[in-house]
Amino acid sequence: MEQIWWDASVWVALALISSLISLKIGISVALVELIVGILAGNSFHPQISEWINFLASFGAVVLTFLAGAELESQTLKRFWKESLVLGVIGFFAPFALAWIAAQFVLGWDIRAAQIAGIAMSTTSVAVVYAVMVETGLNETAIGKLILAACFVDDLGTVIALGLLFTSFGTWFWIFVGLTALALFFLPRITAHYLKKVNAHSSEPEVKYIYLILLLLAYLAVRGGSEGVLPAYLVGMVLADTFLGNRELIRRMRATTFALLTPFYFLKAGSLVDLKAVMTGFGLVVIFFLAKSCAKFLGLYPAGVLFRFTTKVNLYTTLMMSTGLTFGTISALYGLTHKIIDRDQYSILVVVVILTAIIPTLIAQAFFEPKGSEREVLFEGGERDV
Amino acid sequence: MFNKILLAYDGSDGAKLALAKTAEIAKSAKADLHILAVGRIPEYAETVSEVEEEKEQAQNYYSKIMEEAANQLKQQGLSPIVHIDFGKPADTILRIAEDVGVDLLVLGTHPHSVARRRFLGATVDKVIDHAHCSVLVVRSTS
Repeated sequence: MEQIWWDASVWVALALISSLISLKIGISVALVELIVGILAGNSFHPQISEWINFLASFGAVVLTFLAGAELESQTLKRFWKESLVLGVIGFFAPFALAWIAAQFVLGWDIRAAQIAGIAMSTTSVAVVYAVMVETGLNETAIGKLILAACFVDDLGTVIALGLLFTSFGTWFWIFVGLTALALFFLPRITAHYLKKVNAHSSEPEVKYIYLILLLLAYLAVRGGSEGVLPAYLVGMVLADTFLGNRELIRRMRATTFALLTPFYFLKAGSLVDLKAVMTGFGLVVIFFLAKSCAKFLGLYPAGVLFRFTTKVNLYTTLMMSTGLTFGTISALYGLTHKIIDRDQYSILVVVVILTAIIPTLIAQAFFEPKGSEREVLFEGGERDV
Repeated sequence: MFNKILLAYDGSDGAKLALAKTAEIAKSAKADLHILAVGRIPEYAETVSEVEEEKEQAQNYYSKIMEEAANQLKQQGLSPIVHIDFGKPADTILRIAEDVGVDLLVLGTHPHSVARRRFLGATVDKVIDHAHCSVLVVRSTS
């Protein structure tokens, strides 16, 4: 029994160390937790028990919900054509190229190659948003459009992850039916419920959201799908409700970041085998290039079609080449469902970490729209309002 | 002489010293004075709300510090324009300096250990290397 307390102490110590490093160097705690996890997993191998697996999985579900709840539906409506085209291309191009590269060049089996494709298809709304806040681009039309496109891209990723590996049996259709009902009724029920419980100190709102996520995750897994799929969709349909309730988001984030996501990112990092990364470094390069080239070849022509200025187009392409949370979620799904082995997982996670860092550095250094360039969205004088 | 001066300010001892020097220069040059605080936000974030929360906390923290600094300058007959922005300190200082079009940038600094400077880099080094205008670094001795 005392072993549980020791194991918990080790994991929470790693989480605390990650927070302190993050505080000092100004880099997101998620990335630091991943790296600390990699170092711990390759040195003293912290114990991964059943309860850690649960906390990590639930952390991924809640994190996905929070990501979905950050959707700005007005922006999506305003730029629906551009964000839909860019988002769909941003998902499909790297998904297809990484899948083809993994299956036909590297000889991975088809399901492992599909996991590689999904892990490379993602982008990161939060990474992109943080970069944009630094330049004020988040307030401009181009910034909002890129973020909306990133949402669509990530939606493609969670749908692919939720549907590609399922068997479409009876339970799957029960899951689909109940999720559809939940998505239809939740916005109205939730708004009414939040008004009724009115931020009571016993946190009935947080428990309500957790219950919905857990029930839908149960149905998803029972139906052979993945819990992050309903979580993202529920987040999206509740985004407008949450927009007016930032305090609730803050409280949910506090519990999630303190107790759930550290286990997820530390575990995801600890399963990376650095020896596999060293020996398979060529694969890291291949997947990184597959993702970057596919995003460029898919998104740049689309930007030309929408008459983006060259600089804005290159910036958009690079921003949508980022990735972090959904990339690791996809890779970890593959590993825990024995679709990929640990060596393949290690390669994919390292590529995901690199895609969080390298495209943003290049975009900031060379292609960041400055001054009046931030306001011009399309060529021909059409400006942001 | 200088027409437009930007002081990067964080309320530290080095920054307070720089504030005093900047006030002297601005008065004698009759220059417009801008003061800037830069709040850090996490790079490679997990969620948008994480960035928003850090931004809000930095805004609250620096609002008080900047108000005190502005009051101090006003007592000396100056009319500073206050900016609070977010991002990597050096990049943000350089961007605001260019946007405002200043011809002098002032920073306060305090001695860092060699190791810290080597591994984490120094804001001052980057600003000096990349600024489009003159840079004055006021160094505290403590």
